[in-house]
Amino acid sequence: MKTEELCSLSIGDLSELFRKGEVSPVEATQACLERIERDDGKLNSFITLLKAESLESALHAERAIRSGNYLGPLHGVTVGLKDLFHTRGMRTTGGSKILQSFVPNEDASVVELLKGAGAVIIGKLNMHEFAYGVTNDNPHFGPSRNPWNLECITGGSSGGSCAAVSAGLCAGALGSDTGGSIRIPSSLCGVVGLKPTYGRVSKHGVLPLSWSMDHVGPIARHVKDAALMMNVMAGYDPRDPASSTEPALDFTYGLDEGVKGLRMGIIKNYFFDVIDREVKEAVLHACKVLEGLGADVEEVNLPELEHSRSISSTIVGAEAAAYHESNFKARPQDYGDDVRARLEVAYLLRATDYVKAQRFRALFVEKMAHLMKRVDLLLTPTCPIEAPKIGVQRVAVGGETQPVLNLLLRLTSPFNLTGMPAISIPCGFTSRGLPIGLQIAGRPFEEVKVLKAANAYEVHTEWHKRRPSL
Amino acid sequence: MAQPIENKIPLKAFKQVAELWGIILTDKRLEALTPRIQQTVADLARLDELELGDTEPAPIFQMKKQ
Repeated sequence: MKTEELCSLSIGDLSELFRKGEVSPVEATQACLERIERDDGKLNSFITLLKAESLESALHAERAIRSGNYLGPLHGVTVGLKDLFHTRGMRTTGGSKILQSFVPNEDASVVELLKGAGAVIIGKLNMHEFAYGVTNDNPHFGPSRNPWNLECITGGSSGGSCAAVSAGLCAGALGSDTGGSIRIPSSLCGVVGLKPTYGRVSKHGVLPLSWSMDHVGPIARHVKDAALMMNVMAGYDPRDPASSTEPALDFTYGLDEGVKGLRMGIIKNYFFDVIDREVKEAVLHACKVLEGLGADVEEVNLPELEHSRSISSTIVGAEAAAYHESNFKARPQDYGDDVRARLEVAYLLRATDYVKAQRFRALFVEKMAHLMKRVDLLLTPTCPIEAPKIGVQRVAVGGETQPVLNLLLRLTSPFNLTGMPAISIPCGFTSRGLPIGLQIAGRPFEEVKVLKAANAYEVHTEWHKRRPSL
Repeated sequence: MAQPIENKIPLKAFKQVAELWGIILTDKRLEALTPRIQQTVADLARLDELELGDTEPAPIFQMKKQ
């Protein structure tokens, strides 16, 4: 099989070929490595490439599968890790100068699970410094570049992960999401990114940005692939104090059942009032598609959303300032300009501001839970704009220019406050050829419903089949 | 020279608070930070608008049997 084909297969198809012995994990890993060699000079999606290690791991998988020890759908499949997941004996930089030589002595829990399932870890991926930003314009390792237009940002902070998956440099990747860091770059790079329920996937061994807002999730080219990854990643971990004891189910269960009878809400008061026209049209059209497939779509309202960005930035600012305090006092000059400024300003926050934000959060969770009694899922745009060019700080929307940071976080961060599962899937392209994402959010621990709706949309549309040409 | 923001948080006071934390901000640096400070002050002002009643803060971590 040709490199081109091997690098565009879904995890589901690839694993079937491995299981049947029609393709070897070594062949597939080599194809990814060739693709990385060819394209990553342009994309800059990797911080550390694990060439020898991944080939050894693929060889091990090949032998195991041949001898009848097939471990499941991730066995022999290439997975990249955002460079904030601890990897034993392998540097974990957090995209920073501060940790450029940090070598953990154990794997993050979720990395242990992936390795246990036979996944081939192909490398550590570029990210916004310490995950504290959404452009992935990294001052220490260079910006990651959007595969659909190399002049544009990938979005972040899991930008390297999304660029690599989009361009076929690996079959799947891990990201983290504190205000949208899985979903934003997934939307801008045209891939699938799932932020599961808070506590569903362990954060043990993951560099934190904001303990109460951080989530870990999968990035893939297909909805089913994200579900397959979740089957390995999810579950209770006593080493993570926020880990949920809610039993992890089969996330592929009922994936093909369709959306007939599912109640879906569109919140027009917040999600559609500051938005690019083309993005709005594409997302509303996607809602129509789901309605046409049998979903009951209705308009709903949640006035408290207007406060959600202020609350999120207060909580993330306070927690990030606390985490970085010692390094920041000792080495402020080693932080990039934007992250440094964010941390400096975070010292403006008082303890009472943080507590007030957490109080609002409790109220917001309650209001959202009330709304979610009326609908099963919420449909929203993931980002209100297409990917801006690298270095652009402000973008005009509806005749007003706004900071890129605020715009990109606006529609995703509410679901970090509530901890609800939310996915971004491709739902169109702008006239400049840049991807648009549809966000689907569900009740806590109802990832299966979110995935089911996302899969129904994917199966009945063609957007996910487009791949960037580099 | 940057002006105090809404007479609420004078930049000089912010500079002093930062110094208490061991963060030295030059006037130039402070000026560069002004848009972000303005955004944060606006965010905090929005917090003041909220009616929270008896709402308790959201717990960060789950409680577990010891």
